[in-house]
Amino acid sequence: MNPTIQTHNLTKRFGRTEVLREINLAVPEGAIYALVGPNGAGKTTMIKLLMNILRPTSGSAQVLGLETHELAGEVFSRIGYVSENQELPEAMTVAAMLEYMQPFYPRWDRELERQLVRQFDLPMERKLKHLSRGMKMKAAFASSLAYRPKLIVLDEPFTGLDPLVRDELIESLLERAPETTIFLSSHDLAEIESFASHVGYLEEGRMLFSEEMTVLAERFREVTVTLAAPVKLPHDLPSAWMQAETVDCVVRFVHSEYRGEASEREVAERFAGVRDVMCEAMPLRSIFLAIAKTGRMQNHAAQRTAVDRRPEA
Amino acid sequence: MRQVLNIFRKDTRQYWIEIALSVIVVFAFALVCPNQWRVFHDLSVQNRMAFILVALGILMMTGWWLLIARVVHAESLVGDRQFWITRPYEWKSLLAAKLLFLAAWIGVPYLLAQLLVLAEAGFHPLEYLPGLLVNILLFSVAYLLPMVALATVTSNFARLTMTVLGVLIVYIGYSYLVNGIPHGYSSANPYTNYILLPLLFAGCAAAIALQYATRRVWVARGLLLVLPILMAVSVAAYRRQSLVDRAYPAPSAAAEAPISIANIPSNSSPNEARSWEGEDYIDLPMRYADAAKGTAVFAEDFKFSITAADGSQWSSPWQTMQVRTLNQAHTSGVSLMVRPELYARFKTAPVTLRITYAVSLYQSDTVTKMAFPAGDAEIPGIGFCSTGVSNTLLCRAAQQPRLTEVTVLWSHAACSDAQASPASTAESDAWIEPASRTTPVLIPLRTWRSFFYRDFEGSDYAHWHVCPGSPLTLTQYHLTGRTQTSVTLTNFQLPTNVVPTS
Repeated sequence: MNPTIQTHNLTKRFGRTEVLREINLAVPEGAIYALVGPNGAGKTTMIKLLMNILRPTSGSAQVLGLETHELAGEVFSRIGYVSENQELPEAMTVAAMLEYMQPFYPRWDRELERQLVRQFDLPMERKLKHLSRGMKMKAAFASSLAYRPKLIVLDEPFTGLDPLVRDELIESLLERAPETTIFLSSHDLAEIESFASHVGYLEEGRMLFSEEMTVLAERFREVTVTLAAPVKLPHDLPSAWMQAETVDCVVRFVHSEYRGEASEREVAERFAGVRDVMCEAMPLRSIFLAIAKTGRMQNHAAQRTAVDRRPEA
Repeated sequence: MRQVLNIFRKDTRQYWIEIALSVIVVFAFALVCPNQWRVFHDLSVQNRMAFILVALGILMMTGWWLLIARVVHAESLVGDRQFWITRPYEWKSLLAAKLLFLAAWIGVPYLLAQLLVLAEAGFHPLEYLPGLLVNILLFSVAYLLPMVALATVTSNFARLTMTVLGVLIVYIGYSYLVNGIPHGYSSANPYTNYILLPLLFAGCAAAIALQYATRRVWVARGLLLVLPILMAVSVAAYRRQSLVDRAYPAPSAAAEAPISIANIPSNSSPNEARSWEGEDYIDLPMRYADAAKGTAVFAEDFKFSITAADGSQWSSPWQTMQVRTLNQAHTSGVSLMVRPELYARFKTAPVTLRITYAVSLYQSDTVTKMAFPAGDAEIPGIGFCSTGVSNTLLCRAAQQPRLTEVTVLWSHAACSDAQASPASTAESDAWIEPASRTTPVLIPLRTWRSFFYRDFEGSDYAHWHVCPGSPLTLTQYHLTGRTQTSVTLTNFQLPTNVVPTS
């Protein structure tokens, strides 16, 4: 089955600033793909490239089988795009906007539109400019879901929304999930953990990983090793062991390539006098924190090395 | 088409207040237009009406500007946050919807208003429909299309306004450079620059299409920046003096001069030259005579050369004539402009002065005789004319009039007197000239005043009148050719005294 979204070495530079560097990802049909990463990681740029709002500096991307530079006109009747930064037609009432949008979409479902309006409790006769941020997002969602798009792309859709509105929007998305591929960006891990099927982590323009949530959850373990006597951490720890630290007789680290008993054996062989090895599953938030911290430490170390290598004046 | 109408309906609903205001101003303008050809005996009322007409004209253009900005910026083409760019808009449909909006709410009201003005002026409006449509097309290319193009490369009304102001400043600066240096030298008929409007159309249309098709803002902006440069180059190319030489070929040696030209003997040596804005001028009174009967000679440009006794020579470029009707302007003059350092060199001794005129030759064909109208009257081949104040004929035409000589008979008696004796009458004439080129206009009529003037040589001017009912002759002319004719003044002493003028 062809992926709904696929990118090949997708790169975007603004002047000398490289915002995205050689991104490769594939989003299978029917997936709920969460693109996560800290602010400024390049998530919005990535989505704008996928929606043909921006053009890539190099590399390519395909959406619904089309090169992104071909995305225009009719193909958008199969894509629903909602962004926190989007400028809505503020002078229109909610009813006027939905009425106006309907003829653009051959598959617009009036019944679904009414259902969404009821579900979101949208004030139909109020102008968009007079709506709260949450209500605006609901209106944008309603206008993007009523035509049953094959792909829904959401850029930070839940930022700044109260939990009730957020849950309503997530619920409406999940109702569409079986028939739709959803691609969304977020910097809030907790909000996507409950429903995303796939996840990609973007930091400083680089995709650190992109995989299924279940695989990710299986791959990461917080490992606690209890030893007979205090030990100094060796320098040659495997690269998959992240954030290793030792306190008295206990060594802790995050294993990013956990493979069950084989990994536990590998741990036991590394240290002398192992009394106990405990491998605990990690919540998504902890996984990302570990990755982010490790990434930053590595960057910091790399920068320090570069400074040290600089010839003295 | 469905998408076009959907977007059009949305824009119309959204901007109905702006549309209503714009349409009201357009029809107010149309209602005030007839004051342009009404005869006002009170000058202050006439001035007030003229002011209202100009104010409404400006308001009308401003309203269109606002409407264009509103409708184009409703689906802004600049930026990456717009709602519509990730919706299934077809760019051709979006562009068509915007053009439909402009046609419906600017073009149609403007056309109806123009039909109304023509009807008010006494013309059958539908007879002139093709001309009106061409005028609207030209007006759209010259004014509306550039405005649409600028709106497509700006994100909001404030930025559009700043851009338009910037364009105006550049245009004024460019005009100053082109027209101010050197003074008085300009291109000549019939070489009107026909490239400008097509160039403007092509550039703006390309920028608009490019923006709607690809939203490559900087490419479209670049195109719009290059456009005035291309236009300036085109203007510069058309100002080449050689074009005049080509349009007005020098006559063969055997050819008879169409008119005899001489310096007026009594004033053959003007006492002083004048200095103005860094140039020296000699005002030379000339007499033009002996034009063949039934012909008219119009000077479009002139140039001159000064040759000193030692053989050194300086020639001016072609420059425009102030008084063009040579066979009627018996004693009109030419102003010869010379750079001060050259003038200082040539004035020290007598020189040979040769003045060459680029002339258009006309032959009369149709002559219409009628009584000078008492009120508003139809004049064949022209349109409608009324008697204006101070011996004028106030005329209006729905299309370009041909070159026409209007001859009237003056009476040295009040118009209330039944008969003036033939001894106390005198003829004089005025010329109705077609515009030298077709330019888009706001008002679909050409109106003009023919001032009848005659030098009554010291007699009491106030007692001479052109009375309603007196004979009026209209002679229409057609172009027969273009040529050059010249006069040589030998042993001519340039005035030694140069007086500064303000």
